[in-house]
Amino acid sequence: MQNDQTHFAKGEVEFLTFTIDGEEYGIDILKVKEIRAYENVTKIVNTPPFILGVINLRGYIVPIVDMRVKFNLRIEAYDQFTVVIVLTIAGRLIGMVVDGVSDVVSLATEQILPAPRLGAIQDVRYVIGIGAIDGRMILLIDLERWLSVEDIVQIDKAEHP
Amino acid sequence: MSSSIEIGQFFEVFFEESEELLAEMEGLLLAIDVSAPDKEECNAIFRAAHSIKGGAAMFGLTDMVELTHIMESLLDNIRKGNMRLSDGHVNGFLKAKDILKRQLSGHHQHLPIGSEVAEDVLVLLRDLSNQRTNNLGAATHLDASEIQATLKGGSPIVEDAHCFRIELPFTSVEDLNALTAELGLKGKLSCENLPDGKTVLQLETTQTLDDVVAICSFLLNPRDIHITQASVLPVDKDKEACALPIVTATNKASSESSYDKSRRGEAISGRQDSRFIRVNLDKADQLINLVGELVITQAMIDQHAGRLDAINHEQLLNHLTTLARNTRDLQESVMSIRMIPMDLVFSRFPRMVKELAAKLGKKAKLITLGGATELDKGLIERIIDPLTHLVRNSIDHGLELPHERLANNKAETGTIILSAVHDSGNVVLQVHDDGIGLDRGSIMQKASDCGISVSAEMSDEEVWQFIFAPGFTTARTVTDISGRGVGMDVVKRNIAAMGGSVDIQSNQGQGTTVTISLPLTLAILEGMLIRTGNEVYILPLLAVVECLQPVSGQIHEITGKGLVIHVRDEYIPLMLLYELFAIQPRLTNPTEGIVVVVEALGKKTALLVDSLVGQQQIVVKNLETNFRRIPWIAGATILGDGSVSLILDVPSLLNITSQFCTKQTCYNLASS
Repeated sequence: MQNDQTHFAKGEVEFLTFTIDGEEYGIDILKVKEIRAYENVTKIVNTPPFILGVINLRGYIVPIVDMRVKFNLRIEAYDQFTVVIVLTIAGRLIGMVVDGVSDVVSLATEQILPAPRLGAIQDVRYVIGIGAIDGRMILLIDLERWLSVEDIVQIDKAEHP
Repeated sequence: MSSSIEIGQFFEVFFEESEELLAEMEGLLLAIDVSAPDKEECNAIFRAAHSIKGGAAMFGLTDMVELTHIMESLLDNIRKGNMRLSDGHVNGFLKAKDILKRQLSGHHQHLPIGSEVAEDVLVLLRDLSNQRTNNLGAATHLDASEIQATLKGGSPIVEDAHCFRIELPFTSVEDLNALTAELGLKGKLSCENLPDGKTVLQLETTQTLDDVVAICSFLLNPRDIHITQASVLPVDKDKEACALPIVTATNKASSESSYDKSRRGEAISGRQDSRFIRVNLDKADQLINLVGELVITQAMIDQHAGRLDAINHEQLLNHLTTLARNTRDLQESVMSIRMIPMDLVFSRFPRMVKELAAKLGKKAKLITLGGATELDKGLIERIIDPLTHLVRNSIDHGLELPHERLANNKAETGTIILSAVHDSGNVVLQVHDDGIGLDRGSIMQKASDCGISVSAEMSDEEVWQFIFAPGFTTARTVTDISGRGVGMDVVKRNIAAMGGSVDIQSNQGQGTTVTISLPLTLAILEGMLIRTGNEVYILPLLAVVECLQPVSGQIHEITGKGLVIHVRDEYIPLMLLYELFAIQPRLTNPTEGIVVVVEALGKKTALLVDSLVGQQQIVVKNLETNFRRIPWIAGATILGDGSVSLILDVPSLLNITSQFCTKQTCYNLASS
């Protein structure tokens, strides 16, 4: 697993950028396993709404999340043009639905600006920096914090004491 | 690839192999009938010792070589009938096996253990070797060749003995000492130094030329040794009689005596015994996944082919049928790779029970049931420690001393039963003893001493649960076997970590049964596919009692408490699966759908589903690997069309119905 600190160590870091509801986000490319088209999921009862269900990824059962649901953003219909980024987070495979994948950008340390402070009202600790390249602004995301892993992966202790 | 890596790989292989061989050796030693040992079994033990010795010598692990060598010599004498097997031998070998295991793990961790550890066993085994002549004297059993020899008037010992004259090249004093020590074990040895500095050994032994060459080869190049052989004449054991050269070690390849042939045959059969290869588990898992993909692809082709005209494409369709069958077969065989029978775990208990009972002055016999029950390799490894602990508890705390048992009208020998069964998606392991049972009073007393609040109304089950509290023990003295109160706490935690549960049933004076229930992870399961709305779920076939299409008279509503169905004099709660899982139903009237009656842990419930899809073998996939545990879901699997289907967890569904849930409580449960 890549250490987040290495993002800003020195030299250039590569990010995969994607769009959700018009905003451009960047994630560490080393966490990306593959990009694939959306396929029908098997719904699972008793899970938060942003967990769409599970799919079969070459024999592995992989949950699919939709961050647009989690952040109350506009949701497009799911079809074969919907893109799913399969990520490795904390040793687990998780698929994330996005509006579209843009490209891979290479950011030098000086192109990464510190994350804005929005005060206590908005918790945006998942933004670890802002990439500025060719006038674009890319929100660089710490996936572990963004997906709030405990939402997804932790065994619900309340149900299984 | 550099040679050091290769050596490292061999090193690992040696350790794995040796561990298996030691385990095999132990199994054989425990099973062997001392009064009439099976020749093939003796050979197998000998081969195990020999293989370990060879490997150890290759890596220069001299302590192991020394020990295995003595074992080997003894075993060789036994398998050739020169020595009679006794309990002393078996115990000695078992001890030696334990030492070897310690030495092995010591070397593995690069922390070799001191030579003094092996000293006792070495002395013991040497003593056994020296008893050889006595044993032979006492032998009443004569094999055919001995009888023949006796008829000829010669004594069997003398007839079998050979005299070897071994000319050695220049050797160091240490090598020479080692060699004479080795050969000394085989028979009468004398040593003389020739004027040209060479050494000549005279060995009078029952060993064959091959054996002598083999011994020498450990220290010297066989090509440099010149061995001549002559039979010892009964009347004349003088060294001069040995001068007749029959065969030399250098040209022994040309000699095709019948003995050579039989020995070679034995070597071949020995090789056939090792029908196992070592494969990295990741590779096996990858194979399983790939075959799964193949099955899915095959199903897709099938789907397309179904649309083709059957007359024009007859041949193609025939071939596709064959392909389908082959793929299924392939899938089945590949799936079985990861599964290991419980026998592998059970086999380590007979010895433990035997030794522990002897140590405590108790009599115990062990019965194992369901050893063929297959369990995933990962689980097998993790269940060993908890089971060991439970069996140990049963002997130490459960079983009474023989005179106490007799006084209580019980058989003198206590019985411990280890069993494994598949029960609706779970593997249920039980450790049962017919001992004294748990003492409710003293457990309550101890619990209140420990600061746990107790009350007289508590059910037995609740009281037994105290045993699992950390630091809880009712043993008055702490022994090296038990009494520290750590055990059951750890057992419960380990099993909970595997997603399983532990239960205790106990009747005072009649015994205790500890039941471990483990969920399947990658176990293969016969599943029934059911459809509700657009979703397909799987029920473990073992849990399904019957399927029926109800008529309206069978369904009754208990006002506000849900539905029951009347099946053959039984009223069974009826759950509407679409309601429980919040699925858009195709039909809501129970008489239009199918009711599946399921059972687990002695309780029944009925599920209303839209239709039955079919029945097939499925691989249970763990949802927790990438996701988390979901209530009412035991796992997931991948269907023929590549989609994921969820496996229902029948015991947890039963828990809901036992509360007789209404629509409202179901939702409450779901959202909690």
